[in-house]
Amino acid sequence: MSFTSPEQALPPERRKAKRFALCLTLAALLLVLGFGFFHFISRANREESLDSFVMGSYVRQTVWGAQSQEPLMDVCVRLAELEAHLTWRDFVGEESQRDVANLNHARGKKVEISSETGTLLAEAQELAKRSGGAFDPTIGPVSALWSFDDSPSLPEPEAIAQTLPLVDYTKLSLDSEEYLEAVPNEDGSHTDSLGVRYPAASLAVPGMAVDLGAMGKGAACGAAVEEYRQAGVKAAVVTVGGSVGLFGKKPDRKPFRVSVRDPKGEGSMGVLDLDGGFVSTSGSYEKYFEEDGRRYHHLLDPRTGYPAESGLVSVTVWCEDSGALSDGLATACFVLGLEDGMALLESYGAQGLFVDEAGIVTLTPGWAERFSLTGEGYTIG
Amino acid sequence: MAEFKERQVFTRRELPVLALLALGALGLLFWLRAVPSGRTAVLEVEGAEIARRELSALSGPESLKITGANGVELEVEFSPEGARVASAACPDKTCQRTGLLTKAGECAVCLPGRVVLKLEGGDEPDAQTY
Repeated sequence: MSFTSPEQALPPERRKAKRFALCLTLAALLLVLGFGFFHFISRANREESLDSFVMGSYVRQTVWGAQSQEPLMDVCVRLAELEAHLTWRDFVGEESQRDVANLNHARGKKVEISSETGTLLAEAQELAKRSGGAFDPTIGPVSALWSFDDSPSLPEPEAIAQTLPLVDYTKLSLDSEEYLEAVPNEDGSHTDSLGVRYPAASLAVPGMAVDLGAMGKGAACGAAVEEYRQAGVKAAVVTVGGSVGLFGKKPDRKPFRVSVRDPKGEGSMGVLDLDGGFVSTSGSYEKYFEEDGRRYHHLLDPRTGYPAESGLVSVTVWCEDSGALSDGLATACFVLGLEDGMALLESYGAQGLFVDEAGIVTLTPGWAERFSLTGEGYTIG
Repeated sequence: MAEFKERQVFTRRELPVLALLALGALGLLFWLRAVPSGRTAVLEVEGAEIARRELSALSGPESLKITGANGVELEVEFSPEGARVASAACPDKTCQRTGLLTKAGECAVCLPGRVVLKLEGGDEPDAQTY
């Protein structure tokens, strides 16, 4: 007795037709599964973007893995609060929020400040110390004379000479206190860590004024990245003016590409491939005016009260953890010049790109492989 | 041999057609990936898009006069080579000094007028530092 399967009992044509139908069904099933998988991946990696004007800057956000615009809107709110904390202007935000403006008006008295402002002032003071005063957060009285943000003009030399003694970061005092901070671990648990916060600040001499303009945009990038981390998004790019914050891994797993503005011509001079962190640029081309045939740019040397003359036209700096520091370092390095600027970056473990007046581009060792020069008229030094 | 033929899902005559289809699909995929998407200039005032130009589709320069926020007047020029703010009636003229935008990802911003001119395209970098 021989065994015959039901299929074998069918005539060859029917068997062939049945197999063909089976193949079609399988193909349709695979197609549906494929679409479902693609839809799932697309949803998880969805790209959201939002352009806005906050902190007197054009803010551009691109976020991957957010399910709505909410994290991006939260960043706008956070940056508006930060602007109120850091501005020296009297009309931004609520009076109780204006840490820097209140400090500048206190005439030597101690003022309570937010922890965010305190941390930033401490970071700025440390940078001032390590740069030998090439960066100084108390540059307010001199920058007010030049007024680059409103109606720039060449101040009288006497005015600069009278104002310069008010620029002195050592006369900025910060109260500090230690506290236990719960640092989240990867497994969801928390570890207690000792942190330092700065609840109050004072300026020793009436007339002194803090101006954190050289760190503000970078600090905003830092605040935005903190929001993205808390929101649990996969990756994000935020630009505040010319400062950039990079977070996470993009869905294509490729590095972030950041183009660098051409300081002498139009467009960009090259592209950086980066895995994350913060990038800021200080260039003499951005804000300037001309008087009596001479050009005056906005990057002031706190030690002279005049625009820095270091032979550089642009400095781009990357820091892994701090947007404010990348911004402040870019200004400090521009003022210091190539040699001292390189040494300062090394001391912070930061990377950078210096462009001098002759078009020579100098890179820190960590950026040699990350920068592609595309602009004309430049040579890598 | 007859049994082998019966087990085949497709006949030998059908295989070249299927191979051609597969090659066609692969070719289409490579073509779609290889062809660069064109640069598009986008002009926004206070976050709202007011003009968009595919630069390669332009036969010559095209000028557009706009009024941004706070009554700031600007003249924007689109051309096959790129886009630029030709003139701006504001004190700092930062957007005008940015010059001709030629690569995707570049932008010129007029802060007083809340105007953004940017180039979009396939090879756009993620951000620009300046």
